[in-house]
Amino acid sequence: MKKSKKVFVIWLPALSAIFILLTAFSYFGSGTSNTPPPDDNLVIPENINNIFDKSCFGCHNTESKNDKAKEKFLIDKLPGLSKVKMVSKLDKINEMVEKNEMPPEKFLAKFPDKALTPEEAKALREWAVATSDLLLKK
Amino acid sequence: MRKWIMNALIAVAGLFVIIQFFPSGRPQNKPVTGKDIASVTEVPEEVGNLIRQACFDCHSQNTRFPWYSYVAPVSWLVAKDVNNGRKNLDFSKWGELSKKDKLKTLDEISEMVGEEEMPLKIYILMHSEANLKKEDRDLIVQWADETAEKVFEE
Repeated sequence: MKKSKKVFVIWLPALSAIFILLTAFSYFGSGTSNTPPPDDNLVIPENINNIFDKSCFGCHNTESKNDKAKEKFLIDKLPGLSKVKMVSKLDKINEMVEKNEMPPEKFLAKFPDKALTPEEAKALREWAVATSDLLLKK
Repeated sequence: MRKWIMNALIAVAGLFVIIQFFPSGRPQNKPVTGKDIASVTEVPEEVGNLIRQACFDCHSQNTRFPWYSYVAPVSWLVAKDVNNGRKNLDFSKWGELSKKDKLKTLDEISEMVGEEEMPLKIYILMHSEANLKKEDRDLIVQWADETAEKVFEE
């Protein structure tokens, strides 16, 4: 009796801790988990996220000092947009990349390594179009 | 000295005459029946009046060309702005846009009017009726956002 009680006292907190940690991991590490995203939630795939990080996020984020870029498009706010606005923004991404208007020439003159490779541009555009198509179908 | 000024004036006047012979590329108005925004979508009268006053000169086939728009070099600027304007948004051909293009354009209208990027400053300078008040801008923004919701549900 005494022994089993001791085991209980040690194992219960330990198991709870493991359980909480696992839950936390699956919650915050959703990018790598296998659970499908909820229906209405935009989850930016890792390869697209990397492209955003490299070439776009520097200006298009909430903390950016580039006011014009901030007004136009915030990557960190994209998943929280209404479906209508999300479709518009996704199509705008496609248009801007297609026309080579983004990233801007001036910016690329300073940071040539931030330019999109043809493969990256293609992947980004295909993702934007496919995602907006999907949103329109729902 | 005076002779020098005279010569300069004559040269400027001569140049002014010569540039009149360069075509401006000013576009024609070619309305498309049944495709304009008011026949495709619901446009409240107030909003309709506002966009007619402030946007249609460049963003429709109902461009009013004032006399000075026939005189170079102003004609060049007018031609460039109208051609560009129609390329990005032509309210007279609204019905030809795909659902996606409608949504994207409505978002741009909402953004550009709301953030005072449109109408262009140089246009407002010559057309005081295009100088939209805050309430006018709010009306257009609200209409564009609501119309986008409707287009999305279509």
